[in-house]
Amino acid sequence: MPTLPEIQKNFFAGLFSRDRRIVSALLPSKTLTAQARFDIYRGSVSGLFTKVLAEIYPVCKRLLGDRFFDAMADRYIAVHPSISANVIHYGAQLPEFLEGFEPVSELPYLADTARLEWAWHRAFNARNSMPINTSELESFDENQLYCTAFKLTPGSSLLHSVYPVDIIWQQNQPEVEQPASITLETQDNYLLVRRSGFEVVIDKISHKYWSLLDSISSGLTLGQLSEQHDDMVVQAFLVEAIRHQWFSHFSTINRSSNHV
Amino acid sequence: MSGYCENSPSTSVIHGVGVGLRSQHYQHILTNKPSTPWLEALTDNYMADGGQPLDYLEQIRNHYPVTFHGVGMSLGSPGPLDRNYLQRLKERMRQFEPAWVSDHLSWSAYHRHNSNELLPLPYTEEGISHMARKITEAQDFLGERLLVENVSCYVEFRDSQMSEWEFVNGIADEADCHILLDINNIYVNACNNSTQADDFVQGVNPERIREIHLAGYEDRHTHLLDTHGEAIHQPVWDLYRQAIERLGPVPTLIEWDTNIPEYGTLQKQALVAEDIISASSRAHAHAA
Ligand SMILES: [Fe+2]
Repeated sequence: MPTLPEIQKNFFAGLFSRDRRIVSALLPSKTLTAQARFDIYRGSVSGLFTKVLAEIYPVCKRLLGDRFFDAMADRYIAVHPSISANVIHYGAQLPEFLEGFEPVSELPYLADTARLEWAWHRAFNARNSMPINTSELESFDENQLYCTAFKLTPGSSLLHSVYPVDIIWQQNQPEVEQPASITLETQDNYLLVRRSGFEVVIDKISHKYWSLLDSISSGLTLGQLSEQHDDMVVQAFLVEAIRHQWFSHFSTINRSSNHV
Repeated sequence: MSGYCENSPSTSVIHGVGVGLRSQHYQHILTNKPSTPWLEALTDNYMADGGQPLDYLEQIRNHYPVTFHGVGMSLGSPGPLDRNYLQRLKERMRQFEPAWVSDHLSWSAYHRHNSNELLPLPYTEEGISHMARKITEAQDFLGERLLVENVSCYVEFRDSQMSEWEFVNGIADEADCHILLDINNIYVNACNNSTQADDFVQGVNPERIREIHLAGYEDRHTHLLDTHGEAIHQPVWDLYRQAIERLGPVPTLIEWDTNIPEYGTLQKQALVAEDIISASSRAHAHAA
């Protein structure tokens, strides 16, 4: 008689591989063999993860069509098992997977489209936040501003693609019945995906602002930004960023506190 | 074991027939405030750091008592319980104050990997003590008794030494926890495994039952599949009537998870269940 740990090991292996040792521990029913009964679990596991992926990546699903998407999902599930008790975390590696998935090589924009959808999912579930209170900021002198660092709204992502993935995304929302044809001229697209209240917003931004935001998200202060960029550019950027509520937090790194 | 807050049926705010809360109905519920006595939230849908679902639940919680029902505890897994998951659950319990928390008599995780599916265990003494130990651990962490639900099971283990209801009773006694009796799962298992659904309903320990689930299965011809995607079937209503006659007016929940219909359809199902409860109470009053 196999022990409980052995049964569980074999059961789990049977779900995700060709290992069928579990079947000998099971009984047939009047209508199904033990193998066929176990396969009900294989089917429901693959159905569950396919559904999870379809909910996070509806645009990719629409671009690929249901059958192709489901077949792709099967391959993904086989190489990327879930490692979380909550399926909300499942599917993060799909963009990279698509990049190396030969059958979709004719859709070179698919991986970046998936990146945008994952960024959307991430923003949707991110911690709530409020836009920064600008009155405090307005009272800062130049020196204080120089030492100030900002935080992007929780769950924000900065994306870059040579494909117009924001337009691909818009044109493949459920309410768009007939997507407009999209010219795939390769040019740089810079996007910020973020939360505004409970809404997820996709902003198309300039390369300059994108790289400023990128520096800010790595923790640089306004002073450090000014060393890399023109002062006027940094100022204009700050006004825009505050107007669009891209930041949820700021802190001043107090240089006088260094000798404490 | 006396350290847990008691959720006794007499003092509970959960009465009558509730409905499983689904995102499709958030707006309807907030706008129309239907007379549903309580709602059951799927805990795992509210585990994110933030975002709109949590806000909806907060608004709905202001108007309705809620219970928490989850699939992520993996109470029968070989490895340790997932402390991050339990910690997040505990935070949500503080935030929403559910009348109680339930999960399933199953396992999902195998060490680092997760099937996110409700997998069965053989019905053995070893299985009872294994599951009871982990339920106790979860209860100690969360500071209250859990309700554990009998699951739909599509396989039978050669090594099972007892019936499913004996297994369920054994776990509930050893872990000193409550039982969430899913009537549809009992019926599905009875059909798939050629056992007697009545035996389960007559054998399960009435003292431990705090809630009943009702849902629709799908007939796949070679077996019944527990899809929660259609109306409750007649044999499940019949079994429910039997359960209510034996157990009294246990709070009952209508579950619907796929092909989710309008809220009114769920309310109609709830009405059928309410009628069964009141008919049984009348008969008992009469007999007394
Ligand atoms: Fe259930």
